[in-house]
Amino acid sequence: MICLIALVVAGFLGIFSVSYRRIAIDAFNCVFRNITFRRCTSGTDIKLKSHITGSLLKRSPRTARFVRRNFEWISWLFTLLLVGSVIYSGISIYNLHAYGNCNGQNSQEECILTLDNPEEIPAHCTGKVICEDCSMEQCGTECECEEGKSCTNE
Amino acid sequence: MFKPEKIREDFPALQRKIRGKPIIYMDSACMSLKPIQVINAINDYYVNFPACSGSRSNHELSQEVSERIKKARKIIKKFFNAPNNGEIIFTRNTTEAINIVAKSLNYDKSKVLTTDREHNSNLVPWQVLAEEGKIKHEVVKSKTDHSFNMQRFEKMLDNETKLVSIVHTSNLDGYTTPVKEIIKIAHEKGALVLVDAAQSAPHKEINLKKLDPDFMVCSGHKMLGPTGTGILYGKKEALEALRPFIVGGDTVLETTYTSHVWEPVPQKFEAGLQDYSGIIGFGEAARYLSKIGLGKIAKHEEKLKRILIEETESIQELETIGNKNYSGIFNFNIKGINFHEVAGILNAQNIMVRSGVHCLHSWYNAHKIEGSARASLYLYNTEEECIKLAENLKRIAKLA
Repeated sequence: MICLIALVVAGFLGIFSVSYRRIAIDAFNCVFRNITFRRCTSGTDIKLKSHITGSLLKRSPRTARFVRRNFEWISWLFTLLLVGSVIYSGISIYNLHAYGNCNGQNSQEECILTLDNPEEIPAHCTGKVICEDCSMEQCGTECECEEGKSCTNE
Repeated sequence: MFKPEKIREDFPALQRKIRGKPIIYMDSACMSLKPIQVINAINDYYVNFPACSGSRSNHELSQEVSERIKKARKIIKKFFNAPNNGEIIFTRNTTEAINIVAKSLNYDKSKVLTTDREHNSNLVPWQVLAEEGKIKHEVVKSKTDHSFNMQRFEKMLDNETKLVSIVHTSNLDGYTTPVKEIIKIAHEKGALVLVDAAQSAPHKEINLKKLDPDFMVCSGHKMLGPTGTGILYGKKEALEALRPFIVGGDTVLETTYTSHVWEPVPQKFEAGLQDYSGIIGFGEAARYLSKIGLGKIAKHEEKLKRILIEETESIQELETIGNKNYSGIFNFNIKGINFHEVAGILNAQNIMVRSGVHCLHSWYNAHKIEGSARASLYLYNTEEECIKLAENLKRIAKLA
C-alpha cells in the first residue's frame, strides 16, 4: 500500500524534482508487480519508511517511533492532503484563467495568483489593473494612478 | 604502531561528507574502499602506458605493461607466501576463479565436498555439475555452535572425493574454518582442496607454504584493490592437470586450422586481453596491505569487534547471527524491525552496512531466517565509529 501512496505522491512531486522521479519509478515497478500478482522486490516501502524514520531519529526518537508505528496512516493522511491541494489548485487556476480571479466569478476576496498583463494597463495607471481606461467604477480600488494624476469617478 | 586515523587519510571516500557529515563505512566484506595509492596505480596505466602487454605487441609501452603485470604477480605471490611450485592466475573475481576449477577439473573421482555456509559462488558451480551428472556434491553440516564439524567431515571424506572446496573465513559471521587440518586430512585421502579466501585474504595472513592447499581463490575488490580483479592460486601440477574452459587469444602458443598448442601456466588460463590497470591496482593493494601488516589489521578488527559486542550487550532486542567470534563481521537482527529497515535507518545516520542474505541464501533458508543486517569492519574503521554504531542500534531497538 505504501508503494501506491508513494506512486501518487512521488509521481506528482516528480514533475518538479528528479529525486522524486526515481522514487516514483521504483514505486511504479512495485505497484506493477503487485497488480500482476508478483512479489514486490524493490523494497521501496522499507526504503521510504527507514529514510523518514532515520531522519526523525536524530531529532526526536519519540516522534520517530510514532511515525514508524503509524507510517501507513500518516502516509494516507498526507496523500489525501496532497490530492485535496491538487484539486483546489486546479480549480483556482481555472478560475484565474476564466475570470481573472482565482476565487471565482464576482469574488472580491484576496487572491494570491494574478495574471500579469502589462500591455493592458492604461498609460496613466501604475498598478495591476486591467482596464481600458482607469475608472473607479470599472476598476474599483484596484485602480492606481501615477503621481500627479487622478482616477475618474464615473 | 597501528593508527587508523593516519590510514584514513589515504582513503578519498572517507574524506567525503554526506548531508554535511562524514561517512561511517562498514560494508567492507562486500567491497573495501580504495586508498589513493591504488587509485594512482590504476591511473598510471591509463595516463602513461595504456597499451597491450608484451605478449601481443613489442614496443616500449607494451614492455612497460608486461613489466608491471609481472611485478603485480610477484607482489601477490609474496603477499600469500606462495611456494615456488605455485602460480597465480588473474581472474575477474573469486566466482570466476572457482568456476575455472569447477569447469576444468578432470572428474576421475566424482565427489565434491563443501560446507553448509558457502557463498553462492562456491555452491552453485557444484550444484550445476551435479545436475549434469558429472559429480556428486555433498554438504558437511556445521555443529550447533556453527563451527566446522571435523568428525562429520572425516566420515564424509572417502577415496571417491576429488575435491574439498571450502570457505576459509565466512562472510556470514567471520568464522574461520580450520583449513590447515582439513587440507592435511583431505590430502591423506588423496583429495584436492580449494580454499575460498575471499573473506580471509583481506583480513589475516595466509601462508600458502604452510597451509598447502591445491587451489586458493580470492578477490581484489575486498582487499583494497579495484573491482573486477581476483586470483586463482594453484600448485603447478594441479593447474597443469586442468583443461582450461575459457580459451582463445593469449592462451595458445601456436595454432593451425585443426590444432593448437597451449601456453604454459598461468597464461593458458588468462584468455583474451586482461584488465591491466586492475591487475596493477591489485598488486598495489597487496603491497599497501603488506606494508601495514595483516597481523596488525587482524588485531585491530578483533579490538573493534570486542567494543561492538560490549557496547551492544545491553540491547535485549539484538540477536547476533552465526558463530560467536572476534572477527571483523558483526551480523545481527533487531527483534521487531526488518533488517532492511535497520540498514536504511543507519544509512540515514551515514552508517553504511549491508542487509539481506549476503549471497548465503542456502544457509538462511536452512535456518529459517529471512535475512539480517551486517556490519563488516576493516583497517580504516575506528573505535569511535563502533561506539556510534552501537549507540544508533540502541536507539533503533527502541523503535520496535
